[in-house]
Amino acid sequence: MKQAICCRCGKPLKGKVPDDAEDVVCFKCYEIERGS
Amino acid sequence: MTILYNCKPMHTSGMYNITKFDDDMNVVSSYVTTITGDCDCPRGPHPTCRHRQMLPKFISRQHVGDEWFLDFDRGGWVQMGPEYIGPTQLEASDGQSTPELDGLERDEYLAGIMERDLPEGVTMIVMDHPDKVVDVHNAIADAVGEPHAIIPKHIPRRLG
Repeated sequence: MKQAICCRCGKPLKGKVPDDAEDVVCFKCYEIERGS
Repeated sequence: MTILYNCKPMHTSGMYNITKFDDDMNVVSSYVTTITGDCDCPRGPHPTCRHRQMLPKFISRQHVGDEWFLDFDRGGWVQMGPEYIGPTQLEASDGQSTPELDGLERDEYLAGIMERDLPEGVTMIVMDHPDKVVDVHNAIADAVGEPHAIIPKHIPRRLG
């Protein structure tokens, strides 16, 4: 497990994720993606 | 249209509330799903449904009752703001929570509570310690007395 970071902007997120996790985004990036 | 889901534990062990949110984070639906493979959604009678598929994902990622949401169709996770943390987690973050400790640190923390924070005459018993069951029994016996069996003086004999 590793520290969660946003896969789009690199912002550290709360909690840990599996080492190979590439499916985590912060809410801001999620909203940007959703809006586009 | 992106749909997010979150998962919150219910009071009953093994039961979870999986809630679906729309684009504006309004609740669309919420269903009770269990680790034993039951779900009260319309597809409940079927062998599986998306709620039963996503429950193991929430559990394995340890995102039950926190502010993480699953974008099921995309297969990704989104961390929302702290306002989306479940009630239990909110209580835990209001400054009165028990810090995450283990082993000796935890015992020392609990001992500190016992010494400082409890009112006079109140005893704390840690229930998850195997030999503390005896302490519970003794505490109850001290408070209300030992139980006494009421044995009738005359027991009628059975004839047959």
